[in-house]
Amino acid sequence: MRDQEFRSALDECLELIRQGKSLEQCAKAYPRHADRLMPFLRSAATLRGLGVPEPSTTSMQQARTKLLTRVAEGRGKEAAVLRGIFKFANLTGVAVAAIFVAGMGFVAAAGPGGLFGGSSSSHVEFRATIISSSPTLLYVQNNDNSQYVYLVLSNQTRYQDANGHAIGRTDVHVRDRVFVRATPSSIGARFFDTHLIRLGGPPSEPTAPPSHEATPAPEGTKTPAPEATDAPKPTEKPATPKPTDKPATPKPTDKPVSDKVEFWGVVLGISETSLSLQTDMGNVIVHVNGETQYPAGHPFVGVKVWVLGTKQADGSFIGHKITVKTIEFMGQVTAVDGSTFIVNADGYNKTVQTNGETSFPNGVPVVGDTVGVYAYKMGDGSYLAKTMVVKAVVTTFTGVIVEHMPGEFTIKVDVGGTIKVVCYEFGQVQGTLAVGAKVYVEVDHEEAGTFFAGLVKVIG
Amino acid sequence: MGASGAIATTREQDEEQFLIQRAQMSDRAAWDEIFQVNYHRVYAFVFTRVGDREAAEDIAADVFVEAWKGIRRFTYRGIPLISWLFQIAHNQTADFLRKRGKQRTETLVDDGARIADPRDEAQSVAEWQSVSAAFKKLTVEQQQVLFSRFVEGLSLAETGAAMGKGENAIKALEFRALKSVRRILGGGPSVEGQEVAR
Repeated sequence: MRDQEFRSALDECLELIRQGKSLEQCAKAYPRHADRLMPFLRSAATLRGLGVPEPSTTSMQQARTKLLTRVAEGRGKEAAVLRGIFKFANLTGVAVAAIFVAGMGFVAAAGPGGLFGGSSSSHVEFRATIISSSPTLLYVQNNDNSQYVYLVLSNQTRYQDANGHAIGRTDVHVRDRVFVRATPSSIGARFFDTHLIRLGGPPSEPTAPPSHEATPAPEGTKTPAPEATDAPKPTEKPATPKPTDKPATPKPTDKPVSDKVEFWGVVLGISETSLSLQTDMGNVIVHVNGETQYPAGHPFVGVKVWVLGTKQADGSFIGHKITVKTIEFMGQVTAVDGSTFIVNADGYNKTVQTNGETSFPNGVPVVGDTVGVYAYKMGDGSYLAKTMVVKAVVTTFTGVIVEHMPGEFTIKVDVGGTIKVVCYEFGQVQGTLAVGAKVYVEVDHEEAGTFFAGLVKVIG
Repeated sequence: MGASGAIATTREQDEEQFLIQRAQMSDRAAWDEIFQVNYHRVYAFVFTRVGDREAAEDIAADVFVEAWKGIRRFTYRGIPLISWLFQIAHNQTADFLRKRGKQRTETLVDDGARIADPRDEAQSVAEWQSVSAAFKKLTVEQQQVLFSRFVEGLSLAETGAAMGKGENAIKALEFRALKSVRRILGGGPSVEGQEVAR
């Protein structure tokens, strides 16, 4: 019993030490055990009192560069290995994949004349919800059998909106429900090489999404085919529909009191059938229905939107087109606080919020990085980033090759009398490298006096 | 494939598994994320062992390169990646300290000048020497518990989450670790024989 008391006292005292309380405070609370507690508590207090100095920014940057350089080097070498694996997989992988696919419960369609226009590869089709996203992979849950798999994305992957129109990779988001056509990958049992990702349902289904998906949805639920380019630029006045425009106008239930009007607002609330907006006219209600268009994606609370609608007798509006305001800009990260970045663009600091859906194709920026930001404009003046891309600072030079070591993928270049060692193994080479040739070099990074080139171009 | 059983994981575990899968495919952004999220913790963990900022910076950098080299062999079983990074850090630090060998004490005294701590320098150096000696007696899990709880100041629940263990397991590790180091760090009279069998 006494031992149990001691352990209980120790646990409690250690928690107090962790929270910064003094040894004496702890020991006083348990006088019976004070002698036994003290060596334990002193040990904990010694550790608690240690001051760990911050690492220097320089060393952290160097460590990051060292790591990412290794990753880049490894990626170049792996590419060749993977090419070999895929060749092998083409010969042997199909049977194995078919067994796996049958076990997974996916719809499998195979053989010549199939949906891939005569491809002999087995492929699968299924509906899924995107759980996580990276530039090269999507982690999805199969909606039919709840299994989780990885979709490997490549240059061959096509993206379509619900109407079958081509869209971009950045138009596919976490929580989107998609139709997938893919081939089991040789990378791993749960990986699929992805041929098609289509927002909404499969091609054979009606192209319009179910009505419950057509209403504005909470943050994260995206509409099919958000076309960023349709979104009005911040400095642009939204285009007024031409008289010849004939949009699919919802049938108002009340008699309209005016023709179409357009205005800006900040979304205050969303329901199945309406949006509540803060506007220059005061707070207004915009009714939405299955014919309301969302060319830049569904709105969410806090975002700024442009509305094309028809005013009703009761002062509300029927929304014909609701466009989420998006903006692109470039700047330098001057501060980072958790998920919030301060980006200086053209001399003005912009507050850029990020969340789980923000995409960082080149990694999470740090202070000093130059970034391209594609974001939603929020009602409070901040920005919610869809994508933040770290821009490489490209160093370039021009010179004459004085030595070529093909086996080491290295050239020595005379740049105004200075000899620079350039490794082109992981870069792109345009033209034939030879001693005496004049070359233009774009440097990816420098390490130990060697310039690792992103591009070497023979220019003379 | 018993997917339903395999998917009995938390969202955080799914996210981390996804991150690791990306890292295994040499996804640069994944490695950047791993670095940004974990660098400070790895550095601080190493610093606790070596008491030397520059050495800790060098070792921490090497930890991530070693992680890159070994990621293909890493199998995710629900235990957070940071635990694996701490294991690598532990090995790297042990190598470093071995190489220092007999000159370790001398080096630590030299390094004391670089400790950015307002307290008396000699006192600081002595503390770091004590901590370094004390941690040498511990398993990597025990080190991680003491580091997380009293250097980082994490709660039992947070430490458990970081190590993939329950709170009671953390308490047990914490008790055994403090029991091992109390004569080095705890000072005072020996209380041998009074401890409770767990």
